Amino acid sequence: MGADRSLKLLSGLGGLALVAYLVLWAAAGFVPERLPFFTPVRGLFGLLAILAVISALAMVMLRNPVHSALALVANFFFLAIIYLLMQQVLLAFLQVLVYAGAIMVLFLFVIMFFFQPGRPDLGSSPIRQQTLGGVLFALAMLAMAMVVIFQGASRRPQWLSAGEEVRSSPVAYLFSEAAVPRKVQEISLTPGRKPELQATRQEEEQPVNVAKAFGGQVRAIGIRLYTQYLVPFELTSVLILIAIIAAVVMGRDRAKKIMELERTRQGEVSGE
Amino acid sequence: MTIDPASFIPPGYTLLLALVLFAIGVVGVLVRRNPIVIFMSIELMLNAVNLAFLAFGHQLMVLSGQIYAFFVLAVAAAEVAIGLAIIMAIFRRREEVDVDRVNLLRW
Repeated sequence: MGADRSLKLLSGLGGLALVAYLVLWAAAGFVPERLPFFTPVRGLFGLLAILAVISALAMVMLRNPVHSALALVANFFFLAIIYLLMQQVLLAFLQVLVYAGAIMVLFLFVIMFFFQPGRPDLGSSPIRQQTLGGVLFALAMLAMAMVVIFQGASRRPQWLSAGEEVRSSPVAYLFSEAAVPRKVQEISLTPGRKPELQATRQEEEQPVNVAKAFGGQVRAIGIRLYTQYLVPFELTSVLILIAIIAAVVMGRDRAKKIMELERTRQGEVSGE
Repeated sequence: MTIDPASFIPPGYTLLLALVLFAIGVVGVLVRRNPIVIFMSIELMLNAVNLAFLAFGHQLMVLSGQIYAFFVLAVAAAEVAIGLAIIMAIFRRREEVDVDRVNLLRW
């Protein structure tokens, strides 16, 4: 399959998803009782999910690494909008700034350093059936992860007392329409005993809505980064410092060679 | 202390999306031969993990999801910087970066 054809196929699928979303939106506007499940936010989430999957597939399938990088940028933008839909504001902006801005620019720079057009990449495998094997392995892993994550949805958790509903299983809440109420949150976090941790939990966990009272999520997150999460935060800065030093040391090679070359040349000149 | 149900996204669907993206990233790592594209697939997998963190943060209405995703982001940035520097160093020595041919740590 040529790169052009898969690109056309994938962008056509994305266009179809967009049209389907618009049609559903209009239909839900005219006959809302027929489409009770469709809200603009949920529909937008579905559209963005489809687009994110399509752009991820494009990243894996396109042969030109520059095209792959651009598909990944598109993917990051779709994910950022999904984060915004989920009210995770700070990470949505960081996603665009750090991932789509900084990291992908680094990727594109490195690609342009040694992009060799015409070099076969996909499908020219010395290992037999590598593509098939990789896809099968990933599918098996996906199936296993789904089983592990979603199996509890059909099972009654053991720590529920007789009167309580099965719905209060934390896994069943994954597909329920409402955010988890406080009580179930505590049950799901401390299975097996009655929650008496309410005071401490409220202290250490600031709900998103409470964050509004503190002047916004970003401020609340910043406060917590510098108090409760101070040690991991500082460790992260050490990690990034190490990464910077390592990158500089790795990249220094050529500069050193050029300098040596210059020195020998100057030596030859002065030797004459 | 609830958010509008119409704008609430049940995290099961978000988790499904995260799983699918992670699996696509695994395919990319296993199938592609260009180390840069392999790195991009790893970025995709890290993003899927971030999405799962944020889905739970959204469901439980807490800020911890964003804080953990923030740390994942920082680690991803460090990893990319070092990884790309290693790829550059290998390319400078060998003039090729095909992962099948680069199988020695020193030569």
